[in-house]
Amino acid sequence: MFINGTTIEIPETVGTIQELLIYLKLQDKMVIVEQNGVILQKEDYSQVVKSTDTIEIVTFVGGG
Amino acid sequence: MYQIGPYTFTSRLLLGTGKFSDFDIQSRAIEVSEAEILTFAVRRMNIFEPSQPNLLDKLDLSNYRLLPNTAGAKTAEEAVRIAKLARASGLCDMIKVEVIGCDDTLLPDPFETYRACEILLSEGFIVLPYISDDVVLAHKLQELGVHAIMPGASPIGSGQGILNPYNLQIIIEQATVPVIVDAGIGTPSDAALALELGADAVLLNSAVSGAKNPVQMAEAMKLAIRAGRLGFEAGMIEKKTRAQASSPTQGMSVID
Repeated sequence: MFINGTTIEIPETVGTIQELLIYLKLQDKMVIVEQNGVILQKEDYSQVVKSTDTIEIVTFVGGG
Repeated sequence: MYQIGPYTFTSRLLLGTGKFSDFDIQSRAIEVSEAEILTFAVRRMNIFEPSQPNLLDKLDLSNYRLLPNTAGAKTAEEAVRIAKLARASGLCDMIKVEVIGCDDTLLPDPFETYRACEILLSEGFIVLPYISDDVVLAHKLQELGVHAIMPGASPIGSGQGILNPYNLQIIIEQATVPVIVDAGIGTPSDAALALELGADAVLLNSAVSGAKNPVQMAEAMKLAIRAGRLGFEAGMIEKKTRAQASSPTQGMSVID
């Protein structure tokens, strides 16, 4: 899977966005997910992920 | 008090969260500043080190109105994407539109900023564009329907203060929405001047985070902003080219 500009091997047990976040230990972090160019709302996290997906995971950082 | 879109604010100090050396100093500076609005940037999560601390983990964000920026965007489309990512957090619907047009000066691109505002307004955002001190652009953005305008005092992070108080005053006089002086403020007196000119608020970051003692500077800025606003409301005397005696000019025989 292509995540934040890097190709990463994800186990086949990871089937949804929510499971991907848990696998990456990000489930309790303030993150926003974009899947294949589509920005997901929290209620979309049951969405299926595929190994060919391009995923962006962003957060808020300090800025002015 | 002043209003941005549906929100009412008492504090006239908006604080940026960038470049603080440590989380403890940052959270104390935020507390002392009494800021109600905090700005942030949107960036890729470090997925390889999720345990890496993020300043946001230490702040109770529900105490603040969040104003993410679109820093990093060079086109309207990039700014819109960042704004939509920020809103998908479910934490905010305000956006500081920041589209940089020149890497050297970090001055905003007026055309892309205007286009980004047009799109974001149609998408229902509360839109606060960062612009240079351009009187005509400020006017056109207001006509477009933005919720506040954020003219820069001088280039971002320069600490040069208000380089063109003349333009800033005209922007403030013709404003129909709040004017927040953003970028370039260096000293408490710069911040006070912005408020004396009639600005509704000031957005600070480097001036506080880069100070030797950021917590103390946050307090100095808060007091300066209050003083500047009080002075503006009190109505300052006009500058004159000649002295005007402040003691009576009658009954002077006592010294004759």
